[in-house]
Amino acid sequence: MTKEEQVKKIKEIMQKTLAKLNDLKLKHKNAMKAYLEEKRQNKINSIKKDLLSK
Amino acid sequence: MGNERFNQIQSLQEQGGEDAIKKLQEIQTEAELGFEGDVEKAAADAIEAINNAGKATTEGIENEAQNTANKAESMGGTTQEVNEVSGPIENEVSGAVETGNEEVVSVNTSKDAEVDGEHQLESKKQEKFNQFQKWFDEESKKKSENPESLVNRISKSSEGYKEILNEQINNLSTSSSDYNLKNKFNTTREELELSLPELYQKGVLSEDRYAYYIKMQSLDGNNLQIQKLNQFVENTPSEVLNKLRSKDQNLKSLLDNWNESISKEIGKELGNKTELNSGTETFREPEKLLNLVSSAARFQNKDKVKETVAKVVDAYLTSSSNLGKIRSKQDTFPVLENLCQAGFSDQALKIAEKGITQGSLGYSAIFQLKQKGYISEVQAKDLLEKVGKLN
Repeated sequence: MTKEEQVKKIKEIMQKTLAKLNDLKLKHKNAMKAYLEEKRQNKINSIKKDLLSK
Repeated sequence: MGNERFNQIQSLQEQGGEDAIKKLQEIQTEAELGFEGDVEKAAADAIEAINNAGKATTEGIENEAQNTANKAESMGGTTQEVNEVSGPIENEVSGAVETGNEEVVSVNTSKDAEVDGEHQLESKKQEKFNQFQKWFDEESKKKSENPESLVNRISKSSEGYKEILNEQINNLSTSSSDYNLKNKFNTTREELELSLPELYQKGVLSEDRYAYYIKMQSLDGNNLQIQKLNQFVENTPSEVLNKLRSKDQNLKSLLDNWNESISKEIGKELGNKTELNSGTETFREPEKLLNLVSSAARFQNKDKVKETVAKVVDAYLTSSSNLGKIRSKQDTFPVLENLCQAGFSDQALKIAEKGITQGSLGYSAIFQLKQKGYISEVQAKDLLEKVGKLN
């Protein structure tokens, strides 16, 4: 591998890792959204249940 | 660029001639790399960029987790619950940073032995390829021999380029470990996968000898099975397939039989529908159908099957939103790759866009599609912007 090829390979690894990190950021955002939605649904169901039992 | 370099350029420009131009080109390459050709500096810069991005990602995740915990509190959520969801992703971030840095260090610290090893691999490949071409030329001159007999003899031959290529194809299509690849070829699975399009291209440019060889190795002489043909068709770009088919009657007849059987299967799948909750109909296994149609499309008239492919892609997208088919890059990427190889990048882009909207495809998938040459720079940029907007 020439020096230029090594530099190119390093750049590729860097880009690949940065892309992976960005994907993880998105994955986390979606996971948090899903968690909040689950809590929201639970809350709504619990209020509905209270209202129906009265 | 310092004054010294500037003066050197000026002096070379005044000097003129071939040597000066060559030297100027070298300077330009170094400047373009932006690292003055210094591998260590490139590695240090890359590690710094990865660490900074890792730190920023972790901080972003921690802040988001805190905000989520605050929001969830009034709905009965707890910080502990949020941490349980957030923690594993944070660990993945640390893992990605660590792996990235290790990979950079391994390139940076490549010793002469490893560099020599790679050169040896390249020259060995070239040498085998030359041997094979010479041998193939001689064999082709024996006019009396039919293609089937030629295939048999080539299969038995222990000489030629097949040694390397066979290993490559087998190692890529089976579960051989990276350890074996490293030992045998001093290379990795990823590097071999990346080199395959180039190898196919060589096959086309060198009057099909290489591609002919790929066919023989993939089909394993006379022991032909539909499964092997599937594997062969799925791994061979349309242009190579069509060239092979037009030149080799034996292969043409095999592929025609294969096509008949695959058409029956497609027909069966096209009739295999299911009703979704919304009351609309879709195919029971659109993903399987899409792969079958993509394979068949490789050596058929593209325009003839265009509509069927579009219809199945629409069904795939419809079922995705209802049945959760586009779950992850791992599930979706093979379908995208198959479509692109069959020449339906436009349809693959439709699926990629949907995957992005659903959050199941991201930067890595786009990066890989671009790296394998399936989508253009502009298309990649467009998709990346779409991912960015969701951030």
